[in-house]
Amino acid sequence: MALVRVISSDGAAFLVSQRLAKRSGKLKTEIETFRKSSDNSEAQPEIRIVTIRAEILRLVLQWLQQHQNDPVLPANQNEQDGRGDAEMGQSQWDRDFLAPMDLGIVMELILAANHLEVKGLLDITCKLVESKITGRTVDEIRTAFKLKSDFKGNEEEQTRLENRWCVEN
Amino acid sequence: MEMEKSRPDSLKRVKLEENTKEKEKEGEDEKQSIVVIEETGTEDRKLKVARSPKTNPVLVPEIWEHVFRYLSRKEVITVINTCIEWNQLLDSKKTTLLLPDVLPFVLAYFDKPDLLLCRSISKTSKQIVDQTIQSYWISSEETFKVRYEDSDRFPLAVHAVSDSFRFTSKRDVETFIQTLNLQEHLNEDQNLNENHNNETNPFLTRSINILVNTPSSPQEVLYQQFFQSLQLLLTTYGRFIHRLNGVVWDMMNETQGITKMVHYLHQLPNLKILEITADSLAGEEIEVMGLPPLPSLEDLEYLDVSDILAESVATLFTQTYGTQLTTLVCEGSWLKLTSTEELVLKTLFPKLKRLRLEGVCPSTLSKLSNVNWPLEILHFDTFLTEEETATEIDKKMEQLILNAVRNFTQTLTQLEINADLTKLPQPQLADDDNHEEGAEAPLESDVEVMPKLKVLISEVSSMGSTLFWNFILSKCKKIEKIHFHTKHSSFENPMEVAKTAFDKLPNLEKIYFWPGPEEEDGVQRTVLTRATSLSSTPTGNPGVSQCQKS
Repeated sequence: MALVRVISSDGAAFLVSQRLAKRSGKLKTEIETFRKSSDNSEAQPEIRIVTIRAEILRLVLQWLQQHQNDPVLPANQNEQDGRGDAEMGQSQWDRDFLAPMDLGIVMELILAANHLEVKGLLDITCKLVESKITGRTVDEIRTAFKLKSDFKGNEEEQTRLENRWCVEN
Repeated sequence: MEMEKSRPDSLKRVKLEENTKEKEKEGEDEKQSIVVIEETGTEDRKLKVARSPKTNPVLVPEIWEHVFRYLSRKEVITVINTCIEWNQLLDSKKTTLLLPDVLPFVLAYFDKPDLLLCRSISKTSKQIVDQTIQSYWISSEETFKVRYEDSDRFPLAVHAVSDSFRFTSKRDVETFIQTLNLQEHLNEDQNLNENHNNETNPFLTRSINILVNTPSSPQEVLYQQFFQSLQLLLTTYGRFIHRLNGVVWDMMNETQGITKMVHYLHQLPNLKILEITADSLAGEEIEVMGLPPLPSLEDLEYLDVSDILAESVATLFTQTYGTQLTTLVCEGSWLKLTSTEELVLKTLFPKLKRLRLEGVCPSTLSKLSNVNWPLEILHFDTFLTEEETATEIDKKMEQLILNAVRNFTQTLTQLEINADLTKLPQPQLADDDNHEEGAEAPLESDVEVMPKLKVLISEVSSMGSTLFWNFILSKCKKIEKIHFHTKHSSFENPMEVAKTAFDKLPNLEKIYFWPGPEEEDGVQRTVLTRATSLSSTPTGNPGVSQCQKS
């Protein structure tokens, strides 16, 4: 079985089957680039992901492993030709997977899924963040995301008027 | 102090991970599938992860927090990923820090109310929402795309927001000015406005939709007032507008309507996308010499004149802006009728990458076969029959299509033909009712493979056309994706042809079958995927996956 060593930003290494790793668009490209540049066809690729720490990388690989038999979705919602693939549904496993995570981890996971081009994981994590916004009041959202209003002067009031125009027209 | 306390936690976490890994490794043999296996490395490496040597233990957390305040967003993400200690130090601020980077991805899942809600959370989130909406809505590439996925919420949401900026009467303009408190910034003295630089953009999508209507009296006065009020608004804020959708609807005097439109254009110096409809006087010519000169719109790159019926007006716009356009949508009949000299037409669009032709007829295709435009995406939207030459020319229709396509052999990356080619009169080649026979028919020997063509889109019933099938197999060797519309299809066995396509076209990854929009919910869109795309074996049969409509 062909393996690839994936190394996180904080130096932890994960040994992963190439078949599984290739479900990430980014890792697939890296593996293929390594293959083209390597004289030894048996050599094990080593890929450093400098923007993802071990805890997050582990979660991505865990998700990939669970979904290794799913159809591969494209990295972008709409491809160059203007036609995207339908979104994947969220399974009970996905819900259990995301349930214990705090919002900060989920947001790190979104950035990681985008960087590694794992469309299905990007879908479910984005939808989770979306659910923290949809149907909430502005104050509730600020509390959930630990945000402070940085509007100055009448900027907030002006934004309210602009939104009002869009809602009423 | 917090840093010191965090170390045992870090050690604990790493140990926990190691235990988990061992368990995963134990289970691996049983599963026979691969797998996140283990965190590898020597004891030294594990120790490095645990102690995070990049963290200077001399500095207390408060100092680090102070240092982090001066970092850019990108640098903060680097810090978060550097070591457990720094990550934990920023833990309470992580959602705040990461939101600007995460929000653009999440917006893709929002509808209109969510987008507007996000604008109210903070100035930062408002800027991100506005930038994301605008970069989508004023992109020529995105505007040109034909979308068949109604599950994509963001395009629909932006469309809905854009519809809010529709001005069809003086009352619309007045309500807009009143709602957004713009009155004090409007000044009829244009020179004063030019010096007034501190107003902000009131057009969220940086686009507007306007209707130019000039009926006869007594309503004429009302429409003249509308013209003046919109002119005043655009004099002050027109520079923020990058996209204009203008409709001229004038049963009495279309020249007057076009003239008003040109006056509006003079207030929009940064226009990038221009879509004009002027079809109320069908076929009637407009004397363009009587129109005011068109403004210099240096950023204009997308022009849609497909709904201008007067050929002379369409020609005026294409000739004025032709050399700078990257995208053009026009009537096939314009190419046929345009008074533009053939030599001029040949080099009229030196930057044109995307072309959509609506109502393609044989004369259109003949002209297209002789131009020097660097087209990357060519879309034949609909086909027309020319009555006066139907018998002679329609017999060559497919050949004319392929001749026109061949003219762009070196540059074309995507070809879309919205037609059932079997319903066009066919050359006498083979029995085109049988796709397998079609697949085995001799290929065109003089055809050069199109080196960049990756995407092909057509009606699935066109697979029954021998000529088209031969074209795919011989000329589209590099193709990676085929999209077939099935809405009007009577083609019974596309799967066999798809297998042949996977066999004959080595780069083909996917074949999509799209049901028409009129299909009932629950009908599946089918995607055929080459099974070898995930396996290490070099060849194999296509796998089939079916995706439910969401």
